[in-house]
Amino acid sequence: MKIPQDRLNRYVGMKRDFAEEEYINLQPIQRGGILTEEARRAILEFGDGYSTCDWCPPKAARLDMITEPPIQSFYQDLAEFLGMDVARVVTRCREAKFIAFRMLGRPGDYVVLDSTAHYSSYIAAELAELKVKEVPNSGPPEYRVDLEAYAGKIEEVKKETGKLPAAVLLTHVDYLYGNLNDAKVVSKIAKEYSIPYILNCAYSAGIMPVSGKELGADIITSSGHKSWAASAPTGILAFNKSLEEKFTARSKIEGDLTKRKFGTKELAMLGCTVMGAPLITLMASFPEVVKRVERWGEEVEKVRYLVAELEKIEGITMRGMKPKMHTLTHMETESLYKVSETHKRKGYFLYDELRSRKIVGIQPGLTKHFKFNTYGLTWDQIRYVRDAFFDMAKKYGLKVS
Amino acid sequence: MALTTGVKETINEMIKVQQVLRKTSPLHKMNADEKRQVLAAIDKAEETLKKMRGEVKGT
Repeated sequence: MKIPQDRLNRYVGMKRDFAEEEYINLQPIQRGGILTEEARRAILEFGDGYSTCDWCPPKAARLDMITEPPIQSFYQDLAEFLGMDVARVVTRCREAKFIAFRMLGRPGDYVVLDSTAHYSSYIAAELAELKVKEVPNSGPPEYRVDLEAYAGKIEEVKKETGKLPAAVLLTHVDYLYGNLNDAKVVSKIAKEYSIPYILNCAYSAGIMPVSGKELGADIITSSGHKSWAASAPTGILAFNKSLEEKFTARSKIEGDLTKRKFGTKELAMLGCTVMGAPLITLMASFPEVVKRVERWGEEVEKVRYLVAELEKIEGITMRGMKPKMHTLTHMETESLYKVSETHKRKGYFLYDELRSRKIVGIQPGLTKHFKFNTYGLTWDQIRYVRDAFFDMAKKYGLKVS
Repeated sequence: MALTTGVKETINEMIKVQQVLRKTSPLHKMNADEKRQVLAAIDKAEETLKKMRGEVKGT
């Protein structure tokens, strides 16, 4: 079918509304994925389709066997950086979780997970035909996950099914409140029951120091486009030696007619995974990522400062655990909601006000509460955001203490 | 051929400028070091473009 030219023109000269060089972007899922200079250069070299595969070795045709560009050594360095034995780059964090669930469980098995887990953890379990048992959280205002309750939930599964769960999963930092969970507590419980422990580090690894060995994780999943200064889609699946055989098992299928076999391909990865621009940006940003996690303390200092400043505005309070240990933040903003009730733009006034001050990333239409992320902003930018909120508060007659 | 390497060199210099703009958005109040980086990148790009122009005209 031919597509008319006027429709095709929609795809010509596409531009992003919110260029990072013009706006301060507070979008909670975007801050950790902003490309480094080296990654942006690498796209020029390796943006074309299969360009990373120029030197794919014919006798071992697999992504992790490519040495030019240095994909093979990157996988090793990535595992070491995460304090794990083996690493694979997959399409997204959710695929990493799906692969882990699929390889660890059988249909009908349970996975025990925290009740602040991302929806993709649930869906990954569903696709792997697993059931979920949720560990409760304290609810407002902290939404603290009851980590000790993992043991009780494991016992519940055991009582219900007569066997242990296939895995336990903890979201290291949750996407709603930015609460940092103590991964060691769950590790201890998982070890007592000898259940594989998946630590979902989508919002932690790549921006803050994470060592699987130190935290006692058997599997780490993460997101390149969320936290490793990489283009989407990139996910990370890292695991310990004890799981290598299971996770990297080779394909055994054979064509009934042709007798073709694909014995070099890793089954769970469906052969080769992510190549081209997403992989190359992940690799190119890696040296900076290794350095930037060491600056995590300052990132936490900046968000704590901004939260304390914003809480000076009447009717604005932070949700989640205090003191803040992560840059993803959830604010409850009752006073802004009250303003929206009489404003001609209703809930969109906040978005408009911020956008007019060159700040974007707060979800349009929200005023009762919203999320933001300050990761990677400079002190000047942090103060600029504070001033913008103070200015807005003044405009609408809200007290600033 | 200077033309093929020149194109990438120029874009890379402009990426350097853009990185500074990203760090200083939205006001772009640059400190001395940032100004120096931007000017160095523009100078280098200009020099490369000159060479490229010369090469095309000479061919």
